This record gives sequence, C-alpha cells and structure tokens, in this order.
Amino acid sequence: MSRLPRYWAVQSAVGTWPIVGGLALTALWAWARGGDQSKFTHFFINVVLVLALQLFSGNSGILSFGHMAFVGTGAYLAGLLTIDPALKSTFAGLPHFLVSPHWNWFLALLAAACAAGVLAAVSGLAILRLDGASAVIAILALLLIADIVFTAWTGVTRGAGGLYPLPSHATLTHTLAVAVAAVLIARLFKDSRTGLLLQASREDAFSAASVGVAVRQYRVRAWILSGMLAGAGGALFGWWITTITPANFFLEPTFALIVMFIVGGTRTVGGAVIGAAVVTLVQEELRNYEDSSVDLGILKLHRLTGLTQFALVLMILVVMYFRREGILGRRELDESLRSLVRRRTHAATR
Amino acid sequence: MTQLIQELVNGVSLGSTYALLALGLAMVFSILGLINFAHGELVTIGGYTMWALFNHGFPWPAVLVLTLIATTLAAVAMERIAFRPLRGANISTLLITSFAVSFFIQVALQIFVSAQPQGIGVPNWTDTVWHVGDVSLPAVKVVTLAVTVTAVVLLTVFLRRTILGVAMRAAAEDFDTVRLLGVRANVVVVTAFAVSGLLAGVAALLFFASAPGVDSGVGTPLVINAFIGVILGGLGNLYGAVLGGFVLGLATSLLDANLHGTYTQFSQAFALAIVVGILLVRPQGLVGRAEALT
Repeated sequence: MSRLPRYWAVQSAVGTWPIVGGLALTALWAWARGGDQSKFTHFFINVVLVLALQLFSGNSGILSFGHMAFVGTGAYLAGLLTIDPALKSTFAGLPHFLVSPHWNWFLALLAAACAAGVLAAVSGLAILRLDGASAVIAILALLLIADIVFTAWTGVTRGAGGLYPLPSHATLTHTLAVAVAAVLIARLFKDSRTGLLLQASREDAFSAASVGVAVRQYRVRAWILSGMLAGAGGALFGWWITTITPANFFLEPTFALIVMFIVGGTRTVGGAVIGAAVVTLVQEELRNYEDSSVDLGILKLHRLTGLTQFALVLMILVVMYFRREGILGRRELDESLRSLVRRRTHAATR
Repeated sequence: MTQLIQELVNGVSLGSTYALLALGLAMVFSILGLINFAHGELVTIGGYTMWALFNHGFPWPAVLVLTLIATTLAAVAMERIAFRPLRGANISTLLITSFAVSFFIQVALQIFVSAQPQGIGVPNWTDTVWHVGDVSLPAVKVVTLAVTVTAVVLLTVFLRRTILGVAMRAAAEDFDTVRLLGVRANVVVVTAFAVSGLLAGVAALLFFASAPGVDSGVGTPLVINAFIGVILGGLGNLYGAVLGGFVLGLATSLLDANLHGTYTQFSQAFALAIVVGILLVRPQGLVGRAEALT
C-alpha cells in the first residue's frame, strides 16, 4: 500500500482555506452588520452538525438517521451543566450531581462531546456489526430509543415540556471557533489513513476487506469521532435555541440534517458546508411564513404548517432526480480550484 | 396466568400491525432494494380515508373496500411518480427519496387536509369485548389476529400458486434474469407495490379501529417498528418479516405490562434495545437471509 505524503496533515489543513475563508467572511459580515446575529450562529452550528454526519456517512457510505441522538445527548448534558444551580434546585427529580455544577461553556462542550462519544462507542459496537440496509434501520432504532428516553426521563430532561432556560453561550465567536475546528477535523479525518481506507470500503466493501482493510473497525472509529462532533454541535444548538424539547432531536431535524448533507454533495467537506448554508437560509427565511395563510385565487390555504419541511423536500427531490452527486460532486473546493488553474496554465503553455 | 394470556393477546395484536406492514416492506425491498419510508404514509392515508368516509355516514363495508382501494392506489401512484424514475439507483438514493416522499405526503396532509388530529367515528361493535373464562378479549384484537393470519395465508397462495407470484419470488432472487426470461419488470414492480399498499390498507383498518384518531405523523413510528421487525426477522425473507413483527409486538407488550412505575414509558426503548441485542448475536436476523422471498 502506498504511503500518505509526509506532510499530508499540513496539506489537508491548508486545503480548507476556501471553506475557512468563507466562514470567516460570513462572521465578518455578521459583525459589520450588527444587530441580531442568531441567523449566523445558526449557520455555524449547522456546519458543525452536518460535518459530524459527513464524517461518518460521507466516508463510510452508511447513511445515518441517528445523529440527532448524539446531538440531543450533547444538548441536554451541556444545558444541565451550565444552567444556574439556583434555578436547577427547583427542578423536581434532578439527580444531585447535576444540580450543583455551573461549568463554563468550553468545559461543558467537551463534556457533551465525551458523553456523545461514549454513547457512540456503546451503540456502534452493536449497530456496526450490521451492514447495508440493516445498519441503516438499526441506526434509526437508536434515534427512536433516544427520543423515548428524552421524552420519558422527565427527572433529567423535563420531558416534552422542555428544558429551559439554557444560557445563551452560542455567541458568534464560540460557534465560529467550533465550526472552524469541525472543518479541520472533518477534512483531516477524510485525508487520513483511516479516512482513505474507509472511503475504499464505501466504494467496494468486499474488495477493501479482501486487501486487508478492517472495515468494521474503521467504521466504529468514524462513528465515535462523528458522535463526539455531533455532541459538541448539540451543546451549541442547545445554547442557541435555549429551550430544548425531544422534538428538537427527532425526525424533522434529522431530515433537515440529511438535506444539508445531500444537497452540497456527500463526499466532500466543502459540499457539507454549502449544504448547511443553503438549508440555514431556507430555515431562517421561511420561518416568518410558517403557519401563515395564503390566497392563491382559486385556492385559499389557511395555515401553511410545515412550509420549511416542504421546501426541504423539494430541494432533496430536485437533487435526487437531477444531480445525485450534489452541488460540489466529488472534489473539495481547493482541489477543483487547483485543477482549474492547472488546466488554464496547461492550455496557455500549449 | 390469566394476566399473561391477556398480555400475549395484546402483544400479538400489536405485532399483527407490525407484521402486516413488515410484509409489504420486505416485499418491495426484496425486489427493488428500496427501504420505503413512505410506507407509513399509506397507513396515514388509509386513516384519513376512513375518517372522511365514516364522518360522511358511509356504512362500514363500503369504508372497508374504499380504504383498501385508496391505499393500493396510493402505493401504485407512489411507485409511478416517485420511484420509477429512480429504478436501478443505489440504495442510498432510493432511501433518501423515500424519506423525502414520506415528508412530502405528511406536509401535504397537514396543509390540505388537517393539521390537527382527527377522531374517526368507527362503528360501535369495535368496542365489543368477549370473555373467555377470566380473560377478556377485545373483538378488535381477535379480528386483527385472524385477518393477519388470513392475509399471510392468501399471500403465500398467491406467491406459490400463480404465475405472477412465482415471477415475483424469482425477481426477489434475481431481477435481471427474470426480465431476460420475458417477464415485464413493471408488472412485477407494480404488483409488489399494489400488494404492499393493500396490506398497509388492512393494517390501517385494524389499527384505526382502536386508535384514538389520525394525524399526519401517525405512520412514522409504525413504519420504523415494522422495519425493525423486518431486520429482526432477516431482510429479504417474508416469513421472517412476519415473525420479526410479532416478536417486536410481544416484547413491547410484555415489557409494558411488567415494568413498574415510571419505567413503563421506557418499555418500547427496552424492546428496541433487546432487538438490537438479538442482532448483535444474529446479524442475519432470526430466520437468516439464506432463504429468499418465501
């Protein structure tokens, strides 16, 4: 097997410049614009979440409908660790060791990532014994189990009524920092040995296994790392939305996450970020029209419940029918740019 | 003892719903490789049809026939509009599309029909309870089991005794060869969807006879549980799907009855965890995938 280039990590990290640059420009725009920045923090959080999904599903080829279980775990834990203890002491049934902590955001974020990582490790050992369609359904079972636990474990999660008020730690700086870290982690993993072997198994699991790739082991590694990233993203999500209910981590957000992942292109980090941008735009712009009435002349619609969902459905159907590789296709942005430049110079010298 | 029988009756009844849906799912999966999320929406459509018809005073035999027709047509339309353009695409593409179709139907029902749950005016006889010794048997549950068994038997006869049925079993093994032998692909695929729609209609009739009402999201948990039944039984095996559905139903019901206090709410979570645990030992499912469609 040929070796990776010596400084592959540096090369990969440098290769994220178009994405990191784009994120930085977005943040600058938000700062310059002033006012309400929640749209922008929402975007950065979506970047973290979709990269978590991309890290596992993009490299392994196994679509995960279960990442919201990790996101929820992260959100609830980070929320409980950062809510004012004076407030928590009024929560009936909250275990004592969760009442006293009043951690700073970064420690709570790490704790959320670790807890989600543990959940991933435990679930991964069982779920990733399966393959193909069975694995997809087993991962879905994980989501279902998580939803039941979030709803029924009222002592800790406050159940369907929701846990609130979470402190607003999801500032522009915090979310930007975590998003950039997520971009680097996802790209470095993708270009690492584990990532490359996992992509080989995505293309042809049998061939990869036949040349000695321990497919399951690599899948489990990606699953755990991906779960940790999703947990960290969940912590930020909780601090952004400030009231979390089990519905925040069930099917609708799962669908939104899948759309982000698919629309930009599943194989690339850049594609995931573009997907997050498109979906965030749809979510934020359509929010005002949700549940509004529309008069189409012949047809009068009283309540447009689920308008955002509808837009997401249309987007995914368009991609599935007309461009299955997503907006970006197979290449990262820097790779496309480089080959574009190379082709230009090649044409010029000829 | 009496209590145990009671719990088994509940479990078998719940399992019947899962089994009927699992059968339809396994059928479509074995032929097309499609994990059809939108299958749950067929049950929802069945529920709304029942709601509309009962509330307009249709007699129950008419409702029964029209509901079955509605779900069968919906399944065929789904194939024609959404899945036929993607014939032969890989499993992820099909899966994502079916997920999108599922949400599409839900949103359409929310916007055009109703965003609130609607009660269905089912006939009073569905409340009848029969007593055998100390065991009380709700009529709906007995009927559910009887209908499910009949459906499985009829399906077996269809798959073994008719040319089309044999072609479908062959297509589950190797679709390309079956086409080379002169069987029209669309006939096989449309039949698979029609049968799955019919079974979903039966499941809807039985489910909504005792469910409090219908809303746009009612099909999703059902279809997820049915899917878990399918993989528990072993993908690609119809009897496995039925068995898996019943096992999941029984596990949920027994845990529901025997867990105490606040743990009751977790019964389904425990049942799912047990199923995943079984798969840990037998990744190929209870019946195994060595055997194909029936």
